[in-house]
Amino acid sequence: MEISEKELIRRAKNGDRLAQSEIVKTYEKMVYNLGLKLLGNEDAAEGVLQETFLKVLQALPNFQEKSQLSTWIYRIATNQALMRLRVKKRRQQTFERNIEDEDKDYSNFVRSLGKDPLGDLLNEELKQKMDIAIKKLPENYRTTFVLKDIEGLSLKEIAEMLDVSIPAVKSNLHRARIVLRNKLAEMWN
Amino acid sequence: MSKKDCLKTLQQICDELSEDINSSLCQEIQEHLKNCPKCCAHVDSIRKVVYLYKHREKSDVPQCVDERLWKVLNLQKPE
Repeated sequence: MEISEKELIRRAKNGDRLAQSEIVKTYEKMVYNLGLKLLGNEDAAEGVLQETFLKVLQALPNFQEKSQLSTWIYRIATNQALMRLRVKKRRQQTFERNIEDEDKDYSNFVRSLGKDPLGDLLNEELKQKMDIAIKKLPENYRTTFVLKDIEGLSLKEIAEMLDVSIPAVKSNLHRARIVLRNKLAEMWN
Repeated sequence: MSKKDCLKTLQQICDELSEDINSSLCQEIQEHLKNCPKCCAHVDSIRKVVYLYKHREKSDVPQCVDERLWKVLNLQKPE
């Protein structure tokens, strides 16, 4: 029998191991993929996955239920991933010099992607190229791009999470999109 | 790019700039895009790239990663 999320949370808070397992099973894919996208490698994503659910199970009795369970877990996972990034904290400023002088015409790239972007996503070659391109992004660009364009957070939320100004978020987002587009166009054409 | 796509893209650009879509800045951008195929292609290519990433299917958790997770948590994976 299906039980409601509220009931699932109540049981998990009371230490019901089956309910806790259901929560992990439901959200493990979301957390793993977030880690993968933010950190760009499988080992780090696994670390985020384990740390997130250890934290979730530990903090569950204090979960106030002011947000949905998925949002709460998502936040914990994002924070775990960002903590890992802060520890690493690599700056790749040399990368940025090559971005602004772009003056190419991308009409061919746009045309080659076709009129059916969802259909394009069935193309394994394109998916591989997309994965390579996002992995190669400098971390501050990748984090901003993932949080804004893939996960849909607001500029303000991202600025707070990353502890940077909103103009810095905008700038990183702009650069991330251009670098990704350029890399994909370069690999695709 | 269709008119609907253009409007959506313009809205996104204006959102990034924290401007209202009817602001003079957004109107200027709209005017420019109408007459500049190169900028249109630039905006369209970025929009498509964002779309592709947003709709990229999620990867499954590899089996070995999954097994280690349940072990670390000391929980049994439900059927």
